[in-house]
Amino acid sequence: MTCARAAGDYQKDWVRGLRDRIKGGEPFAFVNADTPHEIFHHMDVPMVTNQWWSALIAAKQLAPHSFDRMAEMGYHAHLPRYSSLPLIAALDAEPERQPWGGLPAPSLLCARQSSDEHQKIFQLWSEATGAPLHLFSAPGIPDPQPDWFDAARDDWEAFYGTERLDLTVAEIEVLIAALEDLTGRPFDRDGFAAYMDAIDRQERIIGEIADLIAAAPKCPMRIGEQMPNVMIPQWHRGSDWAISHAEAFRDEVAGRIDRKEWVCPDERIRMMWIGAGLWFDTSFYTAFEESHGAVFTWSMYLPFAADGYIRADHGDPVRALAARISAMNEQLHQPPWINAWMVREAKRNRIDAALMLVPEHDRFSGLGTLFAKHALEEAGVKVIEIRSDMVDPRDWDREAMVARVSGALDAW
Amino acid sequence: MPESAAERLERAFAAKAEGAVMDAPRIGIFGDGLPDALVTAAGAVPLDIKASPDGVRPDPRVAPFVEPFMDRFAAGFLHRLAAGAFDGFAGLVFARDDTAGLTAYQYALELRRIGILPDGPPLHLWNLLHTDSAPVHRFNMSEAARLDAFLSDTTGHGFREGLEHALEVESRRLDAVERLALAGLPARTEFTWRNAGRWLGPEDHAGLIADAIGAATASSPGPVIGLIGSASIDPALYDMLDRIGRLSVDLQPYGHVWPAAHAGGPDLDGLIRAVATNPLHPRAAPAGCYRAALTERLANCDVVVAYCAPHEETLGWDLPSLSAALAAKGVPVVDLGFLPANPHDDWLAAAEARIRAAARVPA
Repeated sequence: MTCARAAGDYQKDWVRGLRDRIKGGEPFAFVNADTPHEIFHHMDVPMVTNQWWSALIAAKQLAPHSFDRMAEMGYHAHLPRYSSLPLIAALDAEPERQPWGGLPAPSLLCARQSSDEHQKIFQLWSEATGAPLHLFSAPGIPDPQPDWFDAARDDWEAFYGTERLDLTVAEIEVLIAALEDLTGRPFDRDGFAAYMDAIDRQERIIGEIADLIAAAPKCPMRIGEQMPNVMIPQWHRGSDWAISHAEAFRDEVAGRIDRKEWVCPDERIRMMWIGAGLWFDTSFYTAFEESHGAVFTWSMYLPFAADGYIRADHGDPVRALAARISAMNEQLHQPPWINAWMVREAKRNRIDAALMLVPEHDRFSGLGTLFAKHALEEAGVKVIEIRSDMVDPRDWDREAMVARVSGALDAW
Repeated sequence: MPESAAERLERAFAAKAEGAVMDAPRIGIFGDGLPDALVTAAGAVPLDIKASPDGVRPDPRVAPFVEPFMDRFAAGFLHRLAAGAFDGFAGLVFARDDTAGLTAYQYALELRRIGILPDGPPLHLWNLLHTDSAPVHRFNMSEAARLDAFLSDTTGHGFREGLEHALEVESRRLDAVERLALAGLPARTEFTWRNAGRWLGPEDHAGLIADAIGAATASSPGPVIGLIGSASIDPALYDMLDRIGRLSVDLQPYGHVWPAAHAGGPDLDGLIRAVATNPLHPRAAPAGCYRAALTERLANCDVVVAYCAPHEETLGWDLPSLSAALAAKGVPVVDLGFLPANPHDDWLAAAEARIRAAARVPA
C-alpha cells in the first residue's frame, strides 16, 4: 500500500470520528485556513477548515448547485468562491446537497482579515448560526522582503515586526481564553511548547521530501499523490501519526528515487502547478504525461510545509505561532513574496513550464499572478495562464483547456 | 473676471491631485483611513491620489502587470504613477484598510523593486485597523509613530507639534462641510464641492464653501434618496439622482463619510480611536457593525440606490442582508448592479427608470 493510500484511509477514519463527534453534539469550530489551527488542535477542539470543506464540496461535484443558488440569494457574480462555497451551501439549507448531510451549527468561528471578504463571509455564518466570530487582524507588511522563505524561519521578529507580532499574540490569547471557556479546560502552555516543536520536526521531514523531489532526475510522485501525503498530515500536524506518516512519505519517495520509479519514464517537460488545487478535476494534472511527457512535479503544498511553517520558537511558542500565521496567506499570493518564491522553486526543481491558475473572482489569489508570471518568464520558464476557479466548474471546459495547453506544449 | 468660489471648487475637483499647486510639501493619500490632520500638522498638504482625473492613459510598462480584475482606482493610480503624476510629491501614503490601498501599495513597490518604474516619492503603508480592542489601539498608535517618522523624513516635520492646530482647522472644515450638506443644494454640487477639498488645503476648502454656498441654487424637492456603493468619483451618477429627488444619505466612500470619518478626539489618542471605531468602514469590526450602521443611516430614506464595482468583494456580501433589513422597514433598495467605469447615457437612463419606479416618481 502506498503512503498516500494510508493517509487517505487515516483521513477517512478521522473524518468519520470527527463527524461522529460533531453530529454527537460536541462543540466544534469552523475556521479559515490561515488561522492558528494549532490552538484548536492542542485544546482538542474539533475543527472544520473552510477551504478543506470547500474543496470537499467541489470534489463531490456539489458546487454548481450552490453557486447557482448564490446568485439567487442576491450575491453578485464576481464575489470570491473558494472561501464562500461552504457558507452558501449552509445558507441553502439543503443538507442532502452537502457532504455529511451538512454541518450542524459550529460553536465558534475564526477568520483572519487577510482579505476583505473573510470577515464578511464569517459574519454571515455567525448571523446564520449564532456562533461567536473571532477575527484576527491582518495589517500589511510595510517593507516586504522577497526572501521570506529563508528569513522568516529564524529571525521572524525582525521580519514580521514586533508590533505586528504583539498584536497577533494578543489576539491568539483572546482565542485561547475563549476556548478555555468553551471546553472548561486550561491551556497547557508547557505541552504547547512540545507540540510546536513536534510540528517543526514534521515540517523539516516534509522539507527533506521537497528537496528529494527537486533533486531527483525525474519526478517520482505526481502532485495528485503529493497533495494528500502532505496535506492530510498538515491537518493533523504535530501528532504522532502525522510525524510517522511524514517519515513514511519520505521513505517512499526516497525508495522510488533509488529504484528509479518515475511517474513518466519518458519525462521531457517538467511543470509546476501554481495556485490552489483544481478540486473538481484533479485528474487534469495527469493529462499531458502520455501526449507530451509533461509531468506536474511541483505544487505549492509540499514546499510550503517547510517554508511557511517552520518558525524557531526562541522560547516563546505562542509568539512563534503568531509569526507563522501573521503573513501565511499573503506569502502565497502577494508580491514580492510569491514571485520570489516561484522563481526559487522553479530553479531548484528545473521547471520548464508553469500552469498558473488565475481565479478572477478570488482577487486575493488572483492578484499578483502577473508579477509571478513575469518573474518566471525572466527565469526561463514558460507560463500558461488558466482562467478558472478552484471550486467552480461551471465555466471549465476541460477539452478546450487540454487543447490549449497541448498547443503550448507542442512547441517544445 | 476673477474665478468664483464655486468655479475654484469645480476646478479643483476636475483636476484632482495632478492639478493641485501648493506651496507646502504634498503628501499623496490613497484611500480613506488616514486622518488628514496628521498630514497638515506636519506642515504638508494631504492630496487624494486614488481618484483619477479624466483621460488617464494606460502606461505600457505597467499594463502587463495589471490583472483585468484589479480595482479600477488601483490600476488608474499605477498608470498615473508611471506617467510621473506624483513626481515632486514629498511622499505617498496608502491606507491598508481601503479596499484597493494594499494592492496599489504593493504593486507600486514591486514595480520599482524589479526595475519597471524608476524611484520616485517615498511610499508608506498606513495600517490603521478598524476596531476598538486595546491591542489594536496599541498597534494603531505604533503605526502613528511610524507615520510621524515618515513625515519627518519626507517633509522635515513630524505631526506632534502642529496637531492641536490642525485638528482645529479640520474641525472648521467639517463645520463648513456640514453647512454645505444642509444647504439643500443639488447632489452633484454638494458631492463636487465637498470632494474638492481632497485637493485643497482645509482652510481654503472651508473658505471656498462658505463663499460658494451663498450663490448656489437649491435643489428641487422630491423623495429622499440614500446611496450605497463602491467608491465612485463620477458626478454623472449624481446628476441622474438630482433628476429624481434629494440625495440625503450618501455612504459610498466618496460620499458623506469624508471628511467626517477623520474627525474626533482632542489629541492623537482620541483621533486614532475615533477613526478606528467609526462603524462606517467596510472592514470595521466586530464584523456586523458596518451593516448595522448602514441600516440605521438609511432607514429614513424613501428609496436606497445601491451598486458595486465589478470586482469588489466587500459590499456585495452585505447587500442582500442590508436590502432585507431596509425592506423590513419599508425602504425599497434598487440594486443597479455593477457600475460601469464611465456610466453612459443608456445605463443612466435605465437606472433612473428603475429608481423612479421604486420611489414612485413619474418621469
